[in-house]
Amino acid sequence: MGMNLFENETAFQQLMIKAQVGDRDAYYQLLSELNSFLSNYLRKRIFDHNEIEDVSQKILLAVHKSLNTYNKDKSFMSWLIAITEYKIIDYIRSLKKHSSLADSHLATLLPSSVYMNTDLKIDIDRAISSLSAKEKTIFTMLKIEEQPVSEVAKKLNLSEANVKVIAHRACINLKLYLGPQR
Amino acid sequence: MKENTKNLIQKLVDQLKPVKVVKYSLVDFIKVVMVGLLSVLAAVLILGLRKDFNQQLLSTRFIAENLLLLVLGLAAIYSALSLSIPSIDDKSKMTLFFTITTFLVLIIFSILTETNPFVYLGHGLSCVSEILAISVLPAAILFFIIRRAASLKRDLIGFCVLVCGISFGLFGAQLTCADSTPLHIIIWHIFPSILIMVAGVFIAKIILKKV
Repeated sequence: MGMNLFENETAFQQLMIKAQVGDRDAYYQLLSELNSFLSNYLRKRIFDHNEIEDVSQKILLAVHKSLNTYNKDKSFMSWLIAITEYKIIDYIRSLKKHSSLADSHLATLLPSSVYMNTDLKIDIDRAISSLSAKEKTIFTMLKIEEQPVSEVAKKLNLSEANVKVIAHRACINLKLYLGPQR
Repeated sequence: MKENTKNLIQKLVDQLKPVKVVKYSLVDFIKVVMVGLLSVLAAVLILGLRKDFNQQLLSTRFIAENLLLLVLGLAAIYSALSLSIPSIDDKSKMTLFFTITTFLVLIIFSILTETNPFVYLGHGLSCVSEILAISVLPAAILFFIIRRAASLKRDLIGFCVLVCGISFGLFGAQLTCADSTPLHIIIWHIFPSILIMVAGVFIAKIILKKV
């Protein structure tokens, strides 16, 4: 769904109101479009992309269970994001419970903690060195030094949008480098 | 879209039934307040008013404490109701913060304004059972009203529901218990109230459905 948040709000709201009175076609459309919206939304919050589908399904289930709590006078996105954020926290908590896996899983969620793990650090250092000079600089400044996009853009004399695009490309390249095919 | 997500969506669509949207009204609010006040009235009828009630009515401290309890009860009901509807709206957080602050102000106010130098532990089990008995009905009604919704923050809601119950319980104790020595208030009124509020967190996890 290539719409901005405001357009999503109106479209989702219309479909939701129809779904609440039992319109199955509208509900199917709503859930399908929510699924693609959530995939994009979760990609920015969950770094382990294999988990996105799973978390997205849990959110769709939660939406289904909470169908009677959406009031058309209120913002749909506020309602949806509250459920989504709750499910993301739930997911992080469930990872913590599996203590043996917690460190590695949380490392995929929290970029700064990735760098605390020595084994992972070696792998990530190798992966970062495989990036182009510009990608390496921007990734290091943004993700490791945790500098804001605006500051990085200013220092490198680039637009913020350009910095984000290069950072995104760097992430894709890192994912390919660190992926299961290695 | 992956095949299993398609299947899940189809399954959810097949299960769709028209829903009645949960909307809280002033009536829900008043229901809880009325039940709470009736519980207090019942306690007063059974135990009788405290002997110094007429004197207390002239006391600014007594009036202020009861006003704080009233504000606490109303804020707790509002917090519990607004928390039970998913939203990233800051209003519910603000009310919750207000509720907790009011409770802390009430405790500090009760202790600091006590001028009676006589410290007597006394027998307060009757106070504990009275607070608990009065709290049960308004808390149960509030749980019943909220149960229709899909609660994301069950622990916080449980806490607010029991704060609401406790505010009525403490109000009842104010009217029937003449012992206002600080130690008695802390041990037999405030401490059990805090325990009951914490119990609310666990009760909510049993009563309210998980989303």
